[in-house]
Amino acid sequence: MSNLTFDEGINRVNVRTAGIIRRDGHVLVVREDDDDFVCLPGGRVQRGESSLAAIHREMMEELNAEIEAPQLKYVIENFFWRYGKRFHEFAFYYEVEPPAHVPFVIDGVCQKGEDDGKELSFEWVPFSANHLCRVNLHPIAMRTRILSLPEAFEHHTVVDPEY
Amino acid sequence: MGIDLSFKSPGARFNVRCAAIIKHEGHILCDNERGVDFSFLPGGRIKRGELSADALQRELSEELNAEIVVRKPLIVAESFFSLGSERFHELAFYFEVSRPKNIPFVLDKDCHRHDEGDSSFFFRWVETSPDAMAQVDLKPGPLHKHFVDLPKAPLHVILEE
Repeated sequence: MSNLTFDEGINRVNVRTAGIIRRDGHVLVVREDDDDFVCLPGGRVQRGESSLAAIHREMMEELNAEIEAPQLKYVIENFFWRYGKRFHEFAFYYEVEPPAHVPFVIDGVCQKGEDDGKELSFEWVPFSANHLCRVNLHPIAMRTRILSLPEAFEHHTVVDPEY
Repeated sequence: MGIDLSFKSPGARFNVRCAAIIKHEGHILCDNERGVDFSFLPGGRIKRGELSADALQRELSEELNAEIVVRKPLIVAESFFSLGSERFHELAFYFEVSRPKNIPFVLDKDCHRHDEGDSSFFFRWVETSPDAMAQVDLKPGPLHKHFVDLPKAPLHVILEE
């Protein structure tokens, strides 16, 4: 199945899902190869696949984790630049219980993985906006949305200043 | 402004839409295209680079000739269905919208008409009772109950046909 990613020139339309995995004041982030930014674990939704099916699949692929009852917290229409591309992204963020087998080690990389030929390095980072800025969490919209999560989900539209 | 968010692959299409829930005195405003045997809510495709709420204002300005106030997002729906020979995967953003002042509240006949190229669209107030809504075959069917009683908090639904 193909990903919901549609490129035309520098424009990219993208549908993504990601997990907000919190534990003791920290959130699990992932770095691909030696990128100078980190993301929440997750990936692209495929054609014909719901965001819910996608979060289950991505957590299995990236963390080898069978997750239970992920809770949708945000649907974000997000407009930003990355990799020299102008993104229009629809992102579904689910709160996911921390998988028991992911070690809670908070000084440096806690787990390695691989996805699509890319090396993944997972880290627990304190989830204050300050810390998430310091580790350069992308998209920027998520730096201020992890500390406290809404009861039900919220639909937000975020346009980065440079978009 | 960019292209419409509608992407075709062999036998399949991915679409991103916005739609308006416009209610007035126990009725909801429905849109019917000539030659199409079901109804839908006013709205249309979002364009690349366009916010969903802006897209809705643009669409309703075209369709209803109305300046509308988008009140709040109510439903995000991921839908999977077939139409003709195509398999659809659709993201839809539903917003609560106030009744545009220029759209008369008349019943039992069309309250507004809009022509676009060769297509004609007819708008009608439909009573939000199960019987009345079944008669117009308003899509998507599984959302009827939420159109009748608007969700208190935003709702996320996955609709598999």
